[in-house]
Amino acid sequence: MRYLIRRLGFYLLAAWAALTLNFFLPRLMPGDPATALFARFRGRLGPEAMQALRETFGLTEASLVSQYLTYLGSVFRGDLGISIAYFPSPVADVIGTGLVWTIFLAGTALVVSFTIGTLLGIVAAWWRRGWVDNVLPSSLVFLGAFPYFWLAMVALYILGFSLGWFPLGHAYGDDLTPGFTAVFLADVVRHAALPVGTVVLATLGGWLLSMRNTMIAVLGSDYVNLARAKGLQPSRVVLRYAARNALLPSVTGFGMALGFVLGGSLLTEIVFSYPGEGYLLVQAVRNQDFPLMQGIFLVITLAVLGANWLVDLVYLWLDPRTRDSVS
Amino acid sequence: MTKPLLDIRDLCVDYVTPHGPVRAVDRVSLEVKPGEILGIAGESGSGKTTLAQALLRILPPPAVISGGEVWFEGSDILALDEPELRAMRWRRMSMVFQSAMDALNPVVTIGEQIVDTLRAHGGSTPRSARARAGELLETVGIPRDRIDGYAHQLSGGMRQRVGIALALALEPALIILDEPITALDVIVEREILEQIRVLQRRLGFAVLFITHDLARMLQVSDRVAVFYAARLAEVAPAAALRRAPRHPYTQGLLRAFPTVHPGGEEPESIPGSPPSLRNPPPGCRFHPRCDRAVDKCRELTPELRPLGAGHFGACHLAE
Repeated sequence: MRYLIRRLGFYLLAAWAALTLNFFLPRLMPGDPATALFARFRGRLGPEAMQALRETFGLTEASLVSQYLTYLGSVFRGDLGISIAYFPSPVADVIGTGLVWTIFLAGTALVVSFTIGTLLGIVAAWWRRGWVDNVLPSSLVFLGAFPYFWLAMVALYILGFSLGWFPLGHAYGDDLTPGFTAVFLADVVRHAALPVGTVVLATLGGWLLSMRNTMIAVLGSDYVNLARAKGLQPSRVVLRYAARNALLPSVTGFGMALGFVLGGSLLTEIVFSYPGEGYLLVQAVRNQDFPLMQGIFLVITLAVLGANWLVDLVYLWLDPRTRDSVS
Repeated sequence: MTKPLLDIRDLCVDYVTPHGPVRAVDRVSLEVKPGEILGIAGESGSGKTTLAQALLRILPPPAVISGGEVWFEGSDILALDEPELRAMRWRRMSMVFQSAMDALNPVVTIGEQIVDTLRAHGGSTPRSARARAGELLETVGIPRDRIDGYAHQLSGGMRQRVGIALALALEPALIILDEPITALDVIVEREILEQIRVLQRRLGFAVLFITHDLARMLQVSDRVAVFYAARLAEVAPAAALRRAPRHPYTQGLLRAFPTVHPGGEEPESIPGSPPSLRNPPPGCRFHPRCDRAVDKCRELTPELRPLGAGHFGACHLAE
């Protein structure tokens, strides 16, 4: 328990460091970003936007320290300023809508890829030199070696454009109103199928290989051999003795991937015009929308930290050795 | 003469390598009688552990059994199919592994590791299996409340005791102890050996006791088999072996241990090192290190032959 609190303290410290960096970075840039931005819009922004910009960057007449405190205060209230690209929506609202889609899309892809890859890794290691072990690792690594956006565009062109089996973009059909109706949810799944499918295809090989390799090492250990000698059912030897131990490194990998869910689905969302966080980031960069960019970076940082803390928790539950080394 | 419990006949085990098979157990024949303690001595890499794993058919690849028969309680173990093997394993023959550190699953409680063994062989409810697991732990001197502990919370000696408790779980007819004391300090080692002896007298199981510590083995065993480079060099009752070893290798091994008696001889090591099994010397495998070797030893492989009451040796010079 004390360990968890100590870890939590570390993550809070890291989050504070990220917030502080986020505050100082714009101030390290030559010139005044707010004015530069304002100029770039050549009068298309009103004076109130200029004011919003200045406030977002905290560029008031106050001292640096009081600017910093105001900034921290507004971040804690969830106030990340006003977006320029989506003016006059607040950044927090813009990120909020994107967040749901990204977590749905990349989260589903990660969970599906991790589950299938790990299970195939167990199968490949147990029936070593069997057909799963002979065919899958090499072909999946081969697929994973292609640049992801190329794979995604080929899939989109053939399955979406030529064959017309899947929609070409967006999270749901334009003719539908969002809501928890069967029609809408089915449409969401149909739109997510291709992006999720391509991500799974591109990342499956990594999960498979990492599980397979750890599993083969664990299968050679004394405790697995003892489990066999005890006359246990093969299923129990494989799952409770071998896979249970081999899973630990993969869980670390899963946690790291979880942290990159928000930032990592950029290409997917661009190729499939998916209204997630990555798509927003591109819009923000295109429109020089610094408040939105800052907000997205902040959310990504916090997501990485949060995911790491989650892995710490899961690890405590999965590996009793970590429980005692800390108390 | 009592019928042997375990009868190994011309057992051969090969390690399959890209450069051809390497024979780690070479035509070994041995018997274990019910309730007997048979010691197996030999240097590291002489095939002791490979033999033990072959008996339970848990040889890790690339090791394969390439010949012979292993008769145990009326059936040839090498001919059993997978379900028959599972039924035999642990219920009739169990094993204490060499490394107490690595033989327990680190993420499962020791209680569960005993309970799953009991349950796999049927006939016990979760509650009765747990009660029995607690009993077994107490038998080997571990407090019952450690049942929900994990391997890393125990000392090396305690882990080895858990290994012994596990081996006793189904009251098998034969327990293989594969260097059970190698990783332990002398005090713990003595305690564990004493405990094994007490339990063996009480429960009457037979023991195959593997170690490279010949002196320790002579104290514990009824009979001793000495391995050298994958073959048997000598098999004899422990007393006879200590008093009058017939094979020069056994003689060398006994001279290599310091005596505790005042004025005893200084320990003396055997010159040279054991041969590579990849490319063993022709004739008697010990001849390059033997100071009494004659031409015959270099050309002709000595067979294990009787040399007196229960005494067998594979040496041309022994009469």
